[in-house]
Amino acid sequence: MDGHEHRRLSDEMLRREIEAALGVDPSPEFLPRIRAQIAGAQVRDGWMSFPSWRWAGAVLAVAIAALAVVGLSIWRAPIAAPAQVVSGAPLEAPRAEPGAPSAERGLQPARADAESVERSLRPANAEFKSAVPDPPRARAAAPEVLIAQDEAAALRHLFSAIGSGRLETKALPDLASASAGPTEIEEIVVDPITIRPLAPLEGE
Amino acid sequence: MHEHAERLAGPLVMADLELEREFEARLADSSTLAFRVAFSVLRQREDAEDVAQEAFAKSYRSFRQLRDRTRFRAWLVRMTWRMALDRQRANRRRLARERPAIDEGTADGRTTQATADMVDARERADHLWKAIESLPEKLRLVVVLAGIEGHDMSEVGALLGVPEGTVKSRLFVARKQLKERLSWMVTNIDG
Repeated sequence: MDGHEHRRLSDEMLRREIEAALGVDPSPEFLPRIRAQIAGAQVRDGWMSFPSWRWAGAVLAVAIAALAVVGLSIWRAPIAAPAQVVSGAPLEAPRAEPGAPSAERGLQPARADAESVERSLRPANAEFKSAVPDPPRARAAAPEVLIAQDEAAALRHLFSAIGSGRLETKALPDLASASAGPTEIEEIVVDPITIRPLAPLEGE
Repeated sequence: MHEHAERLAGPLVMADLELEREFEARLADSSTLAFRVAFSVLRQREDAEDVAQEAFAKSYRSFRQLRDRTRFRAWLVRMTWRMALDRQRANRRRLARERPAIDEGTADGRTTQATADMVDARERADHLWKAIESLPEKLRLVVVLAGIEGHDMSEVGALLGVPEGTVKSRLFVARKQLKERLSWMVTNIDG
């Protein structure tokens, strides 16, 4: 091809050629430059280079996030307000028997009494309302009747008895005035106290 | 309080110092290897130093997470090799962009005065590197590692994570291909 004798390279010759080609050393500044770069990285990373500190930082961040979530949920949760409910259950007014108009007429005052009692209770007969607006979930979970079952049954019996005339309303305490709150306390007049001088003892 | 903190931080600081010392030992032991691996790809001293330095910085950041530190050299070699190939690709793209400007700059006929020996040596080296570069990557890496610091088969196998027999067969195939491509050099070597 170029006038040279073409012979095959021996392994040894090839190895020497390759070693010579690769026998290049880095400059004297090479190692100090790497050390300087690593030292710079150490300073830059600082304490965060410790794995344990990195973990501590992560745990702290998670704890702060959890506290924020708990705080937010507490802040948004409904505050239990005093309930103003007696019963949402229907108050059954006694029905007059058909074909007994005289009896119905006789029952009218009693029914009016029952209605007045019911009216006095009406503000409390409304739906449960909290002082704070409830979130939808809390509203859905609120029970319909907020008084005990036996108390509701007793009230129904009471109204039924009044309606049917089995119970005199005059015997009942005035609920409207009873629910009006405490009456003003009258001033107690105390008579002036006079202290009489002691009588002298005998023999003095 | 201060003493308590010192007592708590003590083991961490000690562990850190030990790590630093260990890394320094590895750096002193493997810096030339990393440089030569990079040089075998890039054939530019400055570029090879840059890549090797970058590889060391990267390995330093991950040194704590390295489970088997006896595999550090193998890890470093592979990382340096990959980074050097990336740099080579980037250099080629850059040269392709700049080529027209370079050609215009040298078109005035000014050439460097080099001796005949230097030209000859450069030519031989270029041919050798071109032949090595034309090898498949697996063969190429074996040839380079076997040519650096007189690594034997077992050492090359350890660096590549392959059995010694695999290294032997790869080296055999690689040398055969190289000898075919470089047969013209025989007379010059003999001469």
